[in-house]
Amino acid sequence: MSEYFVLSSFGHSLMAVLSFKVFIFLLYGVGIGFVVGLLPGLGTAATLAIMIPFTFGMEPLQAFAFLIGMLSVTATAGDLTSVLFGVPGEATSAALVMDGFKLTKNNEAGRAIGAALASSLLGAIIGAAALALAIPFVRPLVLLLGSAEFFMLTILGLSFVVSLSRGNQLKGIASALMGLMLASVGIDPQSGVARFTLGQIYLWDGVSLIGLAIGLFAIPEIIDMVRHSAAPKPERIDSFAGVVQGVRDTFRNRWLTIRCSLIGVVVGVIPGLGGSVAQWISYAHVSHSMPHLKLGTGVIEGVIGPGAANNSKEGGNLLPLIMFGLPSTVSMAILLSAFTIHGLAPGPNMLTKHIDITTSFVWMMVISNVICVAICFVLIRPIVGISYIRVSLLVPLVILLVMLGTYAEKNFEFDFIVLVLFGLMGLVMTAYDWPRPPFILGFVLGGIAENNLFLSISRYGSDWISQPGVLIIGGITLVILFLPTFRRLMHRKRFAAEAIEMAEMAGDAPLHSPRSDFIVALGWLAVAGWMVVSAQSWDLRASLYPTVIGLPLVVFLTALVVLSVVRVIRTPESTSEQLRRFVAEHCTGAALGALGWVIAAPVMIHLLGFMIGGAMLTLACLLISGRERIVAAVAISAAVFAFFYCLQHYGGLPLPRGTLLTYIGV
Amino acid sequence: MSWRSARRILEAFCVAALGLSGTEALAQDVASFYSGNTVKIVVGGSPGATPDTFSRMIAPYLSKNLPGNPNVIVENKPGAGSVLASNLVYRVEPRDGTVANLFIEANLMLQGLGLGKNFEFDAAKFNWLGSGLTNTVACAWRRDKGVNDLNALLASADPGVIGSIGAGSSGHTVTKFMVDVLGGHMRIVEGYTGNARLVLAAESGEIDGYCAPFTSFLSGGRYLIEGESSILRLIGLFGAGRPAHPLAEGLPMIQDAAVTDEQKQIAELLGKSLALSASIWVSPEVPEERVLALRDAFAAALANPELIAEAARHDLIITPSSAENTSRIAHDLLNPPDAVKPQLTPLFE
Repeated sequence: MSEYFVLSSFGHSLMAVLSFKVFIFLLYGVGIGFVVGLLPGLGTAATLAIMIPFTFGMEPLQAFAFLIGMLSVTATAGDLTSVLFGVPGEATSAALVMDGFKLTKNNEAGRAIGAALASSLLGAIIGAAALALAIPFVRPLVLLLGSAEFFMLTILGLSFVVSLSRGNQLKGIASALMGLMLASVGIDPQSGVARFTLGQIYLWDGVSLIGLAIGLFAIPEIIDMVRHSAAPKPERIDSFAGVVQGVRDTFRNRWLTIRCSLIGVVVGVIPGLGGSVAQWISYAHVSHSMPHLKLGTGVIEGVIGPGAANNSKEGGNLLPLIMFGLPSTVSMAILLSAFTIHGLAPGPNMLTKHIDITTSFVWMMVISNVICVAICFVLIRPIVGISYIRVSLLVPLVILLVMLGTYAEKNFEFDFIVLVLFGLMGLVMTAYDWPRPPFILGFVLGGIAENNLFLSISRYGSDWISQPGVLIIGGITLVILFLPTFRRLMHRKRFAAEAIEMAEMAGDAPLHSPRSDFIVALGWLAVAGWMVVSAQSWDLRASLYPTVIGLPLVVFLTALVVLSVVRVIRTPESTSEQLRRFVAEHCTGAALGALGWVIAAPVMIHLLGFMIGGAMLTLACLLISGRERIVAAVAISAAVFAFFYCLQHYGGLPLPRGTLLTYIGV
Repeated sequence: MSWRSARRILEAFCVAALGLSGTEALAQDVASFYSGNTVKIVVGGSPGATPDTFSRMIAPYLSKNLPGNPNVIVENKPGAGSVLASNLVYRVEPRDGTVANLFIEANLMLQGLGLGKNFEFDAAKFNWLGSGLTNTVACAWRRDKGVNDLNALLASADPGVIGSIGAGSSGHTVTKFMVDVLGGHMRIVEGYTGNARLVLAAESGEIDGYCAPFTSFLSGGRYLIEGESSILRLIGLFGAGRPAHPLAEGLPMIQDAAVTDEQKQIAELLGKSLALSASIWVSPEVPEERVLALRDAFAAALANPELIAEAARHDLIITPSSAENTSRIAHDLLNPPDAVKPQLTPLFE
């Protein structure tokens, strides 16, 4: 394939994409994708599936413009929801909650949004460029990857856990191991044994990722938002000035943006890793490469890194889809069906006979993201203005969005239980400084790691370890693990100064009660111990993974228990003083009230459905906790009812009717 | 009392007052029941998979052909190999004819063999509407392995490694049939997370072949079996019939390799199971007139040339099976002969 041929194809395809009859469909797709990404609950995959039949009458370029336009902007829009509300609009946007929402709470929403938009756009461009440049030679590279190499890549991904645990290595590693352990819940595909399902068929396919992610990240943010709503806020910064600052921050950190974009592309290219991994690996890379930053406290780099990776991964995802027909995500699987409908077959033909269509994908990704960012900039003041809405008004709406997002993944109300349980867990983790990113990274990668490990052993026996790809990736992993230590040894003085600075910063942070650390660690040790003991009654294939993960987890948790006992002995503060401090800090009336509404929401939705249950929850929350005027409360509740009514009757979303309403025959 | 309930009472009164015949009255009832209502097809799989695609394709045609023209939507409830969805429709969802379930054929065999863990439904009591597709499984082998056809594959003492998704997938069932029933010596490596991973594993040489639904070879992985640079050769098909596609021409049917009566019985049962891909049922408690209306609408939808053309664009071939035929086949699968159960059971574990 000559270079001239490819270059001229890019020129032809750009003209084709910009032609009116294709561009108009790109615009439709961007519009729909923006709304879908913004609202948790309107799943990208389900929307794509609904939209596929609409493409039947279209020409192939029109159809792909529509679908790729939709797909390309959902990540950007999802980032906005994470930043503005602390609720991931998509599961792949959860990492932006860590620092993006913190910035919003500090009245820097404009800056966070500016950084999210700029990094998303740059990420999309780099992802598209990677798609364009890698097309000729990605096939032989991917063909080098077998099950053994996939396993080592997940180990490489898990090595970033160390970076994500900076400042609290023991808790970080324990957190990651807990996530890995949680990934073993479900029917073991190798042996058919139901592991840790508690007799519940709902858990056969494991714990719901979206329920876990939203619970772990969004619930604590909602409670925290309520807890601090009465505190004096920093002076409000002009929206547009903030946005410009965020854009400048992105360009100031341009090399970070480029590196994280490339991480997104690489993760997207590797089949089977899924959409959620890119954001966490890039977040870990930010921590790894900038150890002086206190990620999770509202640093702009914590927005830039995942924002870039989130968009660039779409370009990476398209590569195995085009070259092999290999979808990395459910959305890509649906896009694959579009290939079939329009008479295309993924594979080498996409580089020869259909090169114009392949190169048009590149332009579609770039142009759709430019349009999306332009729309956001035009609407920036109202978008940023959302962050200044009274917390009391936002709380019920955010809670309902959380419920909708959780339900819509699988349409099972059981996922509400997952949401609340992991919401409570997220509260405990944030209160007692247990890092959450290693936990979710372990959870996401754990299943992939186990599956590929067993495939490798089944296929190659013990010889899998000596495969060249395994040795190379293993070497890279060791370098990543030990490079920071090596650098510290080589530059002792500089790191000593940084260590003192970090210690001083840590000294300003409130000390966690050692008694609480003891209780939390002991609780998790009990759960881990039960899991390890339960696993011993299964056959080797089912028990190996939970045992291999569970034993080190028990060791780390035991160490934490012992350390906390030592601190208890040394700490002069009495139990009652610590309890008083904890209650004063965490258990304010407003916070407990918000938690109560979070728990009440699934109950009301179960009984009365989203329409009536959601409206009644809104009304009650606004009147009781928000002390809003009755007219405003009724108006907002009516709007909530109308929203869910439209979603169900015009959007085709099958929302639950409500068991009480079904019982009385309404 | 809702407006719909009041309207129904008024209509019933009018029917009685005007002396309409019983049949007409029932038809009026069905039409008035479905008018303004929503019918839901619950699919136990994710968006984009074949059951979901089929359900979304047929939904508007069902709406057109049902009396009262209700809105027909698809609801995805993935989990536990579609068992969760079937449990919910059987036990929890309304049983008034507004909820249907697209059933996964493998679960019929699982129930018949007593392997149905956590099944809260009894498929013997389903009101089947019919079936829309048949599943034909194709098996492919690498050209560079010196195995040129099915006989060579089955006869070879060490033909190589065959990949598989695992219990529950039709490809795995056919793989196990070839190894456990027909005596093939392929080494099975199972646990691949989907057909796409099998494609990659086959192309990279990690496995030497695999079995998967024929339609999956036509989408992702088509370049592997077609054209000058193809590295895989299709060596056989297993199913209720040969797909009308050039790539299927001349391929032997794997079930024809069965020699003994037992092998033939097992092959016949598996073939019947694959014949019921995309079968839809409603609760046994749905009133008979609504069941009949749903069956008629389903049959009419499957006969619609526009649907057939639309399915063809997805490389799906509409192969209608009536409600009676579907019930008959389901009965056979739910009651396999005792003599073959010991050999049949490992194919589904």
